[in-house]
Amino acid sequence: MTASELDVELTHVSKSFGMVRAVDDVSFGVGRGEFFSLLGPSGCGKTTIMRMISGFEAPTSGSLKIRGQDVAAQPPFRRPTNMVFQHLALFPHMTVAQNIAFGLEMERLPKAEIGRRVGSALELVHLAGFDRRRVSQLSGGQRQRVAIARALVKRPAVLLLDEPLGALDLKLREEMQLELKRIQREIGTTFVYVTHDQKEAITMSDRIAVINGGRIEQLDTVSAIYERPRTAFVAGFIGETNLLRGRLVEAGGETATVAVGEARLAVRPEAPLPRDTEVLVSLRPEKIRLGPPLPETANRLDGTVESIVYLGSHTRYRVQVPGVGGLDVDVQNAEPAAPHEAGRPVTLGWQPAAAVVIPQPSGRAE
Amino acid sequence: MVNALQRAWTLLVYLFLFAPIVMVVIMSVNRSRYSVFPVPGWSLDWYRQALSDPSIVEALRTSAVVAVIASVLATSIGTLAAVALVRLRFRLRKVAHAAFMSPLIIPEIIIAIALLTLSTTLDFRGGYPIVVAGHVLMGLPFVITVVSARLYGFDQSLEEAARDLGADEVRTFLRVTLPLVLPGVVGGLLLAFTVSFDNFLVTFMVAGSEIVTMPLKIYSMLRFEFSPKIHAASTVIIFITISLLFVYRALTRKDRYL
Ligand SMILES: Nc1ncnc2c1ncn2[C@@H]1O[C@H](COP(=O)(O)OP(=O)(O)OP(=O)(O)O)[C@@H](O)[C@H]1O
Ligand SMILES: [Mg+2]
Repeated sequence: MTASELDVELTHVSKSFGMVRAVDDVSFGVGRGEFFSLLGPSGCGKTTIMRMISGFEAPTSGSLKIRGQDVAAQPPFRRPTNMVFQHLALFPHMTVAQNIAFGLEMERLPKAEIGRRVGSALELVHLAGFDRRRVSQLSGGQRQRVAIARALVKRPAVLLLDEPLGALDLKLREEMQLELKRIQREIGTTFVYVTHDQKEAITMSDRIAVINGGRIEQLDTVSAIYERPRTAFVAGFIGETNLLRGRLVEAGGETATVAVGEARLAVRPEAPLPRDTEVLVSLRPEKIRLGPPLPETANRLDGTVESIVYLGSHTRYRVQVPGVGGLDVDVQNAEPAAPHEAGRPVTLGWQPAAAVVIPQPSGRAE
Repeated sequence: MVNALQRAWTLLVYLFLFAPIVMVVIMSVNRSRYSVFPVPGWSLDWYRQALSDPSIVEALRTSAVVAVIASVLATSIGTLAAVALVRLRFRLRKVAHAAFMSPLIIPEIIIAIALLTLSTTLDFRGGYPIVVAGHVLMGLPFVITVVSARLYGFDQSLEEAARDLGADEVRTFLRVTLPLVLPGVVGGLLLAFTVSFDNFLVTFMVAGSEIVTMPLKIYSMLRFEFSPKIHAASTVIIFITISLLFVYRALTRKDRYL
């Protein structure tokens, strides 16, 4: 991706509010037509990043480009970005059509063109025929669509969405996720999407920047974030995982050995690591096989089933392994009855590539 | 039992509050020249006489003109002041707020004297401008209070949304902020109108001889020729004031947005 194809580019951007460093040296670029998500817990600085892109806050330091142009001097109403606000911020004194037309009227477009574009925006969000309704006469999902139409009708270079689905119930939220994805594919606009819901980010995004405490922990494609988390925070925040603390006792070649308590685990680090490195081994519950081990399984641990939770599509077992600790294991419910009982001894097995090795900076307690 | 007591007490309070006003209204339709009770007979004669007295009609007109000008000015200034006081964070914001509110707290007689002193120092005696200025001053705190209340209950992201969609500050104010605080603005306008229409003290001190508003007219009638015309004229004022309050109530109740 060359620099000219980047719709948004942040370079060493920081933002402080008094003593609070809300955004700390953040750099990233969003490619044209990309669905890019900022994912992180509450208060990590997601909204602040969005407000800097849209122009409501000025960075304390660093530079910000939109379509290759430095926008430091541009007020929000001059920037080629539009925002879908967390609480939508639809104008209550206007109808649906008036809300959507507002941005076009600000551009002083001819009436006929405004009418045409409002019409096609309503069609895009499947709200044709709702133009004369008042905002108060719409359901939550419909309001959502109006907010999206109002921003998209401006044909922005970048659409910014700040947790736009936060107020909806789960079912509607999942529906709107697919809907947003469809709209984005249809018009090909660059989307920058903020959420604290990792499932939502995984469902919709091309790439995700995981943010923690104002910094980017990892910026990667969705599958890389899930399969190869680079920090314990990312491993724990995206999906669920077992984190085992250990020390590299044997390095060399593709595989290495990590001592976790009394157990010796074969792992495959991304990059060669020196001996005696303190590491965390992240092992997803669905990557562990429970039951009679296949002959080629490199890692085996014997334990006892402590608890069983039936979760519909799968069952979650908590297995106590002496000298290592408790591990969560998911088993797909291919058959109706759970095959294991609490208190029974079981064997866990997985391949070296199933686990991710996260080196720990020495002295840092996690 | 408690209920009956409560009701009686409420009645007493209302009686205390409204009996004098009710007396004025009753006496305005009393056939006799004298304020006696029970009333010997009913008549609208005093209204006829009052409304055919050119000086009373002229006073009513003067009051209306002053009140319209003063309330429109107070509302425009007060609305902008409220926006600045609520939205902007500047040094001396609290001081500015207190200054605007002071006419509510400082005794009116002192404000009247201050205005009089100012107008004589500036050699700017009497006339509409100084009367209107005084009334604007008295109306401002009401406008600012009502409009500020509206602004505080207002989702600021609406203004950000407008700016995000391409509206500059002025158009954001005209297209989003103003329509949404409009019930407050209209309420402020009506309150400022009543404040001006009813004002006596400030007008009395600064008006000079050629401006006679309704309250001044009533006062001079009381002193020189007592006549039940006064009751009729007062009832007209009461009626205008109360109807404006009803208009205000109706406007704020029909409020759909907040
Ligand atoms: N205007 C402000 N003044 C002072 N501190 C602020 C301001 N805006 C944000 N902060 C602080 O900056 C940090 C990041 O805030 P931000 O709103 O960006 O978080 P967020 O990731 O959007 O959180 P959430 O998921 O809860 O919306 C927080 O600690 C917050 O308290
Ligand atoms: Mg936020």
